[in-house]
Amino acid sequence: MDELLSYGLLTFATLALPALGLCLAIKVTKYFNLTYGDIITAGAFLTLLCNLTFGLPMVISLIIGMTFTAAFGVFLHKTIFKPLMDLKVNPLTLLVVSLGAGFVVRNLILIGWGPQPFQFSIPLARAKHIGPLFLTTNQIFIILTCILVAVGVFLMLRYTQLGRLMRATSDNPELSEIRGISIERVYVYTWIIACALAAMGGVFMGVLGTIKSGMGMGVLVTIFACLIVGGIDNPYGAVFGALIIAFAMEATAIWISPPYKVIAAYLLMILILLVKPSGLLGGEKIQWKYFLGFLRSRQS
Amino acid sequence: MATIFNANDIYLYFGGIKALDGFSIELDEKTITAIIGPNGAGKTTFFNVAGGIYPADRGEIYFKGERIDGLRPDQICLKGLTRTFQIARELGEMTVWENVMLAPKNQVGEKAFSALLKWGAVKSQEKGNWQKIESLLNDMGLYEERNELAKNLSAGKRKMLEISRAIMTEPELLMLDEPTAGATVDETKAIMKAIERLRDEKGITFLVVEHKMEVIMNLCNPIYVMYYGRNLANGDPETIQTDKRVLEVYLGG
Amino acid sequence: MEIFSWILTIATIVAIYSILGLALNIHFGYTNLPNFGIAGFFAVGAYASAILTAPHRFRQMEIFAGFAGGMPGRFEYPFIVGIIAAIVFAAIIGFLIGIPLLRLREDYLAVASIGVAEAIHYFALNELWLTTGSAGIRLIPMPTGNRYLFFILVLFILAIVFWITQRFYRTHIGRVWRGVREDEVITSSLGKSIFSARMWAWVVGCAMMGVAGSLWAHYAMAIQPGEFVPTTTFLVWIFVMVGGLRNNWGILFGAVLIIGFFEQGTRFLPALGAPYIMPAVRHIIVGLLLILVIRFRPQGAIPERAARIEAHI
Repeated sequence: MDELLSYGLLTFATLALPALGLCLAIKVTKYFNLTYGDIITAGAFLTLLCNLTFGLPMVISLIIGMTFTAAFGVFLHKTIFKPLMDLKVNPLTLLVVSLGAGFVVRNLILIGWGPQPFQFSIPLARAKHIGPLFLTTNQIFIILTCILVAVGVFLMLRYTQLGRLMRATSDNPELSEIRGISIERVYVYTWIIACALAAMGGVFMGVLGTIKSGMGMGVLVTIFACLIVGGIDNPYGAVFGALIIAFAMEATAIWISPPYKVIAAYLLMILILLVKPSGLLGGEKIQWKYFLGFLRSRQS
Repeated sequence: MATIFNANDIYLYFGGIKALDGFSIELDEKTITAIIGPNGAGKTTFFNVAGGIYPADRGEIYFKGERIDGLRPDQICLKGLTRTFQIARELGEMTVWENVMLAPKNQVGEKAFSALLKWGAVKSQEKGNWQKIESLLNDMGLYEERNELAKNLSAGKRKMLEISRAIMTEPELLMLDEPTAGATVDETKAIMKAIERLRDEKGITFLVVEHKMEVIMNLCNPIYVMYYGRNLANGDPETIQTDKRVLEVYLGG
Repeated sequence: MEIFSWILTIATIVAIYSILGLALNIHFGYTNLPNFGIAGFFAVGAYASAILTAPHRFRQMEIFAGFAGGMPGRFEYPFIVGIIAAIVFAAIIGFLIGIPLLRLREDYLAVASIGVAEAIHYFALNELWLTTGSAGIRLIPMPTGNRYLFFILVLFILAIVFWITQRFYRTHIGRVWRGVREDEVITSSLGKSIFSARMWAWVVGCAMMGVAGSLWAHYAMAIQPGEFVPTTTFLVWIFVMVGGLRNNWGILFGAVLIIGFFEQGTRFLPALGAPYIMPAVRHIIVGLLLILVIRFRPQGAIPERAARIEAHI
């Protein structure tokens, strides 16, 4: 049971921030950008570059890694996604392109670093007892950082101007545009935050496990499951979903069988899709836009 | 004459707005009834409810003696009630003939396996359907464009396509939402004639949302006036034309 | 004669992948159901065939005796049983998956279907009693005993699948599917059940992917879970979109172009460095090609052609 708590919290710490980032990106831009998985990978590798190749301490590497990942994300946005968004292509087209872009990123990383797994060069940590938990200092650091950052993002969304702009753009882009808000700028800022969160998640994954070129893509669907379970239009839902999925996965690993962790996440996702598709905390209808088109034009 | 359709006290709320506020209507067989009213009165909303797009919050709808409220649009269509849409929605990447060919019910090629195996039956049914469609397209002035992609049609022609498709479902009650909106004078005349002919030859009942006075006054009887989701008045054209409340609220094309 | 053998290999692979592309066309091109779990249904077909036709002793994993136990009973059924089983299992699994998934908006369906393929992959990797896990199933018999004849068989099946896909387009079911793609509200208001239409498209497409899987198992004569990965799915998407989504000839063209030249053709170019580099370069090229094509010619190389009624009746 204590095992469950420890492992659950650790898995949660790796999933929560990317889930939050993806949720924000989808909510504000209204496009699914599936390059996100490979951006997580890129974040881990860029940090690895600083840490392993340049020998910088972990925290500095993380910060530099996040910065470069955000920059890379913005680069992808400007070169690939923005032109398509301006053409007002349908969301599926952008999704397919984003998968293609992810494909390219993944293989570039593969060429750059090779297929073998990597590890960060961090000092060996000793495990301590904290109440019922038995964790290393690294692990404690990760969990705490995750919680702090998540809270920080929530505060940002509620109380800062950027947060308000993001909410306004996600609720009503046309109205925001009329009011003089530059939608593109909001997208860029959102994307910067999302990529930074992705990088963090990737680094956490790398610290707790290994770093491989397929790591981000492998976790993408699990992150998506967190969004579905929690409610895709709700940032709190993303984190809440991550909590549920993390514990479900670890419970499955402990009591059923470790390889089936991921299946547990998918099954939970399917279950929610069958029972309450908008997610536990969400309100948006994600079922086929069967009737939604009409709610917009209610003249006569 | 028998009542083919009636809606009793339909209420629909969107958030705080009462889109439909106790609207009722009764249609007799083989009549052409009009619903008129200012923009926002709830006419299209009523069509959406009757057509099964979304359910009413309160009230019942009967068609040929059966309750149809709560059914899906495809179920309602199969029972004999077809409706068109105010903003013509064409199936853009399909040609005109494919659009209309989609409409008839109970086609053999509908089940995947029959499409593959019952070659002969599919062919003869499609030939039969095409003969009917050919003459319909001619009447509606769409024959020239039969091989065009629907998205390339002008607005007026798209409306005609919409109506042709609805007619091909061979309904007993056809609900047309602004069938002459955007149509030229000739097209309007053609549509009016088509409606009358379909009523006379096929016995189809019509419910029409309209704004054009010549269409309403010359074609439709009775007329229901809708205002803020409610009934304001109903009766024959002369009565409506002289009704004080109607004159106050809405008159003009 | 070496060169003929090599061409035969590529041609067989292209033909099998073409079937996947045609299946994706039914899902996405006709009915707007983005299936990113192609690899999963491909795997189901391959494993169904392999399990039923491979020699008993390999399924019992003599090497791992006592570890997995293995499936009881001799199978070793002929090819025809294998391919029918592939169709049936792929269709059934497709149907079960379709029940929750087909209600979703298309972007959600896309991501959820990735999950399906991964779940199937996991199953194949871990359910050793059924699939012998990562060791894979070996010595699956080639039905005709001869690679040239097998290629003819594959071509024949491809021709049937092609004919079926074209036929759907030209009959009512195809129009209903395309109606669902264009505008579900209209199509529903014309009396067609959207759910039923989607489910038919989905199951038929999945069954086709099962067929492709079966053919693959017999062609490769050995399969293992590592072959049925997201990359496989993406390659199919790439050649379908580059070749021309919705146009079946375009899809064949795309398969020849992408699968033929990139996947297999460049194998003979000098390897630049470590063995993983060239495949990665190939993948980057196709990925970039996809992005460019969608950006500048989204309808693909050979786009959908408007059907003329005169040609039809």
